[in-house]
Amino acid sequence: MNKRNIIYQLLVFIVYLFLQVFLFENMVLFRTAFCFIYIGFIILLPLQLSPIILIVVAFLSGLVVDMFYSTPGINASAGVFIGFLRPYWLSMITPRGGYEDVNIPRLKTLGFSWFTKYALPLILVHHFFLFIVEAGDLINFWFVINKTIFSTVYTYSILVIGQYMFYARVRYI
Amino acid sequence: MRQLFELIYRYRAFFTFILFEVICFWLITGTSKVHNAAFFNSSNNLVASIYTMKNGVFQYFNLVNVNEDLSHENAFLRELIEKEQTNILPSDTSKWRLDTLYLNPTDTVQQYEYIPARVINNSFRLSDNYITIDKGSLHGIKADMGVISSGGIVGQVKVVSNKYSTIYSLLHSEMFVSSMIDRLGVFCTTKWQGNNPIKANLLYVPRHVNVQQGDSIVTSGYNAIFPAGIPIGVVEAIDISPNETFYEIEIILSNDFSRLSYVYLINNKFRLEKDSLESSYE
Repeated sequence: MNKRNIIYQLLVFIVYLFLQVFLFENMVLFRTAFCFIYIGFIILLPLQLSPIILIVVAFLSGLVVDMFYSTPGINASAGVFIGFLRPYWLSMITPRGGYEDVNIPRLKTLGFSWFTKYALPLILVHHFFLFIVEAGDLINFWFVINKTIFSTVYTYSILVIGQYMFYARVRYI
Repeated sequence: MRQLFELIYRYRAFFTFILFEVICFWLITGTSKVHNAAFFNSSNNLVASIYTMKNGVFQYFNLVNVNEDLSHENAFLRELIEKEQTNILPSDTSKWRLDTLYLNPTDTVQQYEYIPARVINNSFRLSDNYITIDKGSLHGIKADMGVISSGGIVGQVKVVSNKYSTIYSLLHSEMFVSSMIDRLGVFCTTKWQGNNPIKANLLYVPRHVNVQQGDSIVTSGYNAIFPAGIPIGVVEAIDISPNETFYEIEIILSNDFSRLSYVYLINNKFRLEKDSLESSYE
């Protein structure tokens, strides 16, 4: 990864962070659906990134979001968890043509159904981990499950809408 | 030895993962000093200035509510002054008489000092909620001060930086507030339920007490953080199972946490004295 890519990814992260803090922190639907759009940054990092770098980047981005939420460690732990799972999940759902010529696993390059198969479980795992750690106990377990399901749908929809809005239709396969 | 290194190298991603999760949980559990460092909280200067920017835009949408709350509070305070004045001086001037007690204004001691502050960020839908305000140690704010608003109790200061502070909202799993049923003078504890920002639970009300729906709950003044008589909420539902010692009581919080705009921080000037006196027993 060269310097230009690093600066590009940094800018992308700042955009996600601003969206998270300025918009989606206030947009909680029906008291249960939260949007953690910043994990789109972790999900859409380049495939060539080594697993260790991925975990470190996920940790740092989670920690920055934690500063805004005053919850040191909670978003970071959930981010590290999906950062760790991402390479294994990617190798499990390799499309027929492999990942040749694919730099970033975007919706427009790999198709809607593949993207859903890729992103939805990661978001679900992230949210479940996040809410269970945040609750700290199992007293409100069903409320946590509720929040996880609705928030997953919410975050995923916003992520897909973002993909359709900002990336031109180019097919590599 | 070489095999060990090979093993570590092969599973390096897994070990990195474990390492970072350990760091995260070390941060979360609060066993570290870092947990209460201003840097990792919303009182961090950069984070708080971004929130101030955001608040600069969004506060205009709240102005109607803010004005309404302020005028209600003003009306309440005016009534209070009126009552005090009628107590001191009866309207019938023939009843006025000279008092032998000479009161010098500097002799009276004000126990509680109130510092106003603006809320720049407020969460109320998470499991542990925090509020960020635009006053910090430069304005005389210290950790553990109580926070109230015109509607009632708000929370307690967690960390302060120079210009900003992060506050534990009452909607936090570790907030226990010493409270009192106003009508009966019975002491109890208020704790948030964890999912609904308008309701809380009342703990440790013994079963011989005749609690009724609509009883108002206020702070007890037993701890050095809040003065006595700050409103907390109103009893909504009462339940008791046959072999329990304590009631299960649900209260509606008097403060609307979704529209907090201005809060007051309470500086108890006698706090040090009280704490040192109480700790000398231990």
